[in-house]
Amino acid sequence: MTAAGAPGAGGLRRWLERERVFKWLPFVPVQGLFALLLLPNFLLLVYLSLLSWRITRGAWWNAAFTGLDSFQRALEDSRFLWALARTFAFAAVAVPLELLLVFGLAMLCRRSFRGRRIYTSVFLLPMMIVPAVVGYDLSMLLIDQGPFNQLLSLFAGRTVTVRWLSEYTPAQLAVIGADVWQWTALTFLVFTAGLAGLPEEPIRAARVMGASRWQIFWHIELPLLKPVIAIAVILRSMEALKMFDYPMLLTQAGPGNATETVAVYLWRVGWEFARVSDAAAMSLILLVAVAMYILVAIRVLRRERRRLTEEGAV
Amino acid sequence: MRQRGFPLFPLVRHTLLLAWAAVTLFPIYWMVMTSFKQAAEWVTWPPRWFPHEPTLVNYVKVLTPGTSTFELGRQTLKILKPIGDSLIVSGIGSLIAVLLGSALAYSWARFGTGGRSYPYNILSIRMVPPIVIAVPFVVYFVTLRLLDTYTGLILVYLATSLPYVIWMMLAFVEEVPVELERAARVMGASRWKVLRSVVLPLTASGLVVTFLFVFILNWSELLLAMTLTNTEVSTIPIQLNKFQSANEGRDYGPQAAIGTIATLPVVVLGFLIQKHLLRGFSFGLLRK
Amino acid sequence: MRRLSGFLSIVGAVALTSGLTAASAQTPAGTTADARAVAGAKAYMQSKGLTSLKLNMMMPSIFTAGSTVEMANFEKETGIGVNYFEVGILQIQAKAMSEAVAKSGSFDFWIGDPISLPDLAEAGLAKPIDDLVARGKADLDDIVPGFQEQARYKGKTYGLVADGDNFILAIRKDLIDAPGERQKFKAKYGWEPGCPDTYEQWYQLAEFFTRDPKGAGVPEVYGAMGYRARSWGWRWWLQQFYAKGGMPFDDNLKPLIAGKEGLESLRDYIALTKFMPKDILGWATPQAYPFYAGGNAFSIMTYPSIAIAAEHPERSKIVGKNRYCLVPGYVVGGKLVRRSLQGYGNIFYVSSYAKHPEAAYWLAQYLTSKEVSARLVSGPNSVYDPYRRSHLTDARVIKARTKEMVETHLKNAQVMAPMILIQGAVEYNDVLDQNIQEALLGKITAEDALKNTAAAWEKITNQIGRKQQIEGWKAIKPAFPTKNVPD
Repeated sequence: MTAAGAPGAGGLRRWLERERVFKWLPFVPVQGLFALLLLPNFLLLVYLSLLSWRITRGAWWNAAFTGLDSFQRALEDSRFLWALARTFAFAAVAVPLELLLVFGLAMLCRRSFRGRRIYTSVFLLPMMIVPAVVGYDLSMLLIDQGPFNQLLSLFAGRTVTVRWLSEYTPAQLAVIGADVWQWTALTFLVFTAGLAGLPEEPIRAARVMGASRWQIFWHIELPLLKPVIAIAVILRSMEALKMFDYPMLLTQAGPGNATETVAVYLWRVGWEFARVSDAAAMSLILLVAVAMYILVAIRVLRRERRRLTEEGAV
Repeated sequence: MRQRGFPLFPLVRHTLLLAWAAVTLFPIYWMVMTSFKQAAEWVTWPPRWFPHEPTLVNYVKVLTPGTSTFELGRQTLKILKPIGDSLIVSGIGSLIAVLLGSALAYSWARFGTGGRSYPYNILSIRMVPPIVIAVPFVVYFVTLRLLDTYTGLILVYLATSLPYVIWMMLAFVEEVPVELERAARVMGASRWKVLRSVVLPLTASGLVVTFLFVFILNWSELLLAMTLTNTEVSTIPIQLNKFQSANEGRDYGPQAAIGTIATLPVVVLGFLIQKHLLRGFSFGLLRK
Repeated sequence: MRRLSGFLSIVGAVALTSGLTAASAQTPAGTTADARAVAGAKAYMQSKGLTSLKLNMMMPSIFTAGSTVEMANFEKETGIGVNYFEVGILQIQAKAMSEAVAKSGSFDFWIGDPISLPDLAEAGLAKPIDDLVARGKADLDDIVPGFQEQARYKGKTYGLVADGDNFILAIRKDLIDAPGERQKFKAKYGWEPGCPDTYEQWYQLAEFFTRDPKGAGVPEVYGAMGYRARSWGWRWWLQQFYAKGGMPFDDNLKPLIAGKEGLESLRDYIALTKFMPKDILGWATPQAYPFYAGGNAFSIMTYPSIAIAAEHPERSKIVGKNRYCLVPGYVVGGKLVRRSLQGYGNIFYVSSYAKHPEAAYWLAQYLTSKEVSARLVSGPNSVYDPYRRSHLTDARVIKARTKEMVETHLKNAQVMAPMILIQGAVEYNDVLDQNIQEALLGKITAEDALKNTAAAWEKITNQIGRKQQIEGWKAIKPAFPTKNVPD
């Protein structure tokens, strides 16, 4: 085997062969990238949040240190708190809805049957479309006299004209709907992988012992799927809480503030109102909120992962 | 495995699946149809489900070079440069992300570099809503002269794609039996040879899948692209955004053409990888 | 002959010398503003040793169409051309602010919403151009008073006005003249239908002319239109508020909008909305104009460029059927007060970080000179509206927009009021707009909408600094009209 001695003859190649060097090779550029690109911005963000700087007040490096003033203002800003609550609420509606939908679809597509390939291909399509296109497309579909209302009229048997984009709740439903439409595909993938990966032995054993289909599902398959569900929830929630494209493109965060997610509001505060320090403080508060939410899910994920790799299957 | 003893089950299944397939396809169908419609047919009541006079004029309008033309008071934005810019930025960013990220995943899987929590810490990067770092990013990039450059945006996409790459490649790398690698080493192969001859072939499909997946994510990204570019770089989401607000033209035909064109590459790629995608998403949790 | 050529060569030499040294301090030669702009630009190019130059211009995508021809003309004469950097109209503010931070010089000049000028001036992005204006002798005197005010902040000039965007009311005279309508209307409301003097009269007209003959629940003709969308609607209310005699602040920046004038005008604003298409909450110019030009509404209060859309030979179904009216008003203290709001106004601003600010200025002066602006204003795709006295008599402008419209429009300009143009304007107006929309949607009462807005305004004022704001408000007050009605 390769000598673990000092890099001598054989030169660079040999040196790189050493485990100690080899294993750090990819880490150096990656950590370097994070350190140079992301870390300074994060630090700058924290620094900006401790000033009360506006773009109209000269250079930020000259601005006075005001400590937690921006945070206080942020926590007193009811529009910010509403945007935060709204964003979490959207996620809380969209994610379970997707989970249910996807669960049903994945179960239906579980066994091989004629046409399954086609169905799964179709179901994955929305994920591949640029959200900007989705936004424009849906805005065309959802106008008063648009095809969507026409379809609804067909089903309802009378003329239905829901004002999807100019009334409060319909606009919110439209934005959530856009998210659900597009990202169900991703969750569908996760679930299908999960179902495909379920171990066969426990299920077969249970059948032999006479368990009913429902019992098998509820007591064996579902617990085994917990990690999959956890991942799906984490992934989807992470993305849902960042929602920016749909509100911006479909409704411009309107009508009123019906669809103003926190990402849109922060954009406004930082760039349109020029209150950069306030935006920075709000960003940090948002980060804390998201992190708390995700950390819980990650705990579950880590636990499940550890259980599976160390303890083996059920 | 036996099906349920419910005789109508296949019928029910097909009905439900068809229903969701219809929901999925409906907006896409409408967009594609609109791209072939003439102006008079875009917004009609009752809506036209099929163009009565199909035309290619919308595609012609958007595919000719330049940034925009003006006709009848409406402006038509072009798509060629944005497609190019998106390909460059997403392509290169995703490619480097995959290379670095897979190497890192391998390193962590085999040597535990970075500590046990590393992948979870990395995931927290993805947690950050881009808006949070958008403002400081502008300041930072100006100092580094990276604002409105391809390099700048590529670096940003690289950094934000790495978490996903690492997670996905972890799953694939862990599927490669360590024994195989050990055997190769015993027979005198260098680490590099092991990588090339053992690991690479076994994770090839994983690499492809991961690349295409982050490519899709970067291709669709709007917020950071809008913040960090001005005139030089203009990706597809930025270009489309110029149409989008209620205050821009409802120039549906050319917009639909752009939408269809912007979607095609990704859809094609997506079909190629979808079988492989199913494997990549187990995140190392599930047994094979 | 020799004497002449000798004379000419002396003149030529002088001109050449002054051209070479002129880059800094002298008025360029030329009898008209556009000639001076061209001369100034050429001198600039020479002083920099350039033969061609591309300026970067940021503008809302919707506006580019009207000006490309003139930009091309300028380029032919001076070698200075333009790269358009288009941005969605609602993102101009964000992009400009980003540039104020980045200072990257990525655009040389831009067109934006006047409400963003105070912030951008304070942020250092907008460059004061008083010195250039004095040198180039831009035809500022010819501009109807009041328009250029929106390009000024705290006494300095930051831009050249290219567009007179005070609101006008267009109504369908063919619908009034239809058989039997006049009598029926007069019988019901007691006055002869025509251009309304008051908002109440406009309401009555709208009520009368909203027609749903088939009882489908969706009118075939809507009685009125105005903008009610996010980021636009507040401007239409502000105009009504002004006509009621309201002022947004007192001299100490205390908000006055929650008083009687605000409440009544907001209630009227909301009441009129019921005669508008229900989707109006999501419509701006690209939706509203074709709708009206398609003959679907009886009246519309909007930007003056509606005349181009409504009289367009190909795109309009109601050519020649429109009357352009003075804006209605309210009777205050026994007297009628009309107010027309300057709801936007394309103004060319120069960036402080531009690589070639002077070149950008010359182009702006060219585009806003009497001659070129007349062409711009009468172009078929134009969003530039008349703003000069000379436009009143220019044949091309009259042909494109009808004599009646140009006269009425410039009469409206006599009573036109500016938007709220102090630092933080974007935020003040956004809060106002948000509350107005919530009231429109019925989520809160009009009273609460105004109270919430007033409270929010106080917070903003305190955060920016009351003294600063008082100063800024004092500077803009002279821009308010003194007449009650146009002459």
